[in-house]
Amino acid sequence: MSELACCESTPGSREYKRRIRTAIAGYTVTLLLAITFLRAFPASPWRFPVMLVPVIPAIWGVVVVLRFVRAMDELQRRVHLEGVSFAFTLTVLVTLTWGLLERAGLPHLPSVWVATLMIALWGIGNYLAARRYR
Amino acid sequence: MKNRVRDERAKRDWSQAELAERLGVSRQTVNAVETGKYDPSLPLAFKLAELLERKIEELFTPEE
Repeated sequence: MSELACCESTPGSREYKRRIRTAIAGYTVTLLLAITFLRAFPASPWRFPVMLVPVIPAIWGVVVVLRFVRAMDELQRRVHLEGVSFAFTLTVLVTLTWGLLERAGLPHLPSVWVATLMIALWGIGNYLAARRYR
Repeated sequence: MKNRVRDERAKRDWSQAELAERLGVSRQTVNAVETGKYDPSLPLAFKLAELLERKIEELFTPEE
């Protein structure tokens, strides 16, 4: 999850950054452990629950972001909305276009890259939106 | 919209950060209002007017 470029001085933004970093670190560590487990025991009946463990810190990340958005002031919310709209519409455009090109022979796009693309565009969108009000 | 927020803030010798804290918004939001890049909502405009002891129409005027 990207940090919100728009909200450096929001009350509690340091706490937000600490919490979101904790969620990202938790996700990364549990993901690496889960992948290591899957490689060592590819036929284990535990492979599904083990691969779901990284979802727990990811849910925590969602809660942290939503709480932070609720704590924003009105301009920060506007910037954030513009950033999210930028990310959402561009992700739809890119994935639809990719889907069409897949039929023409482009390799299949793994779904995990859709989330990565959206998060990257979210950061860029927030940066661009925040720049307009500086 | 034009506004006199910067002048009124300067009269009180408040920094943008001080005014932002009193308003419960970020310093960037105060700066965006002062530079006319963002027109505040009515509740925020009323809060500004109350803090700066001015009527809203004295603080904000439509661009001609």
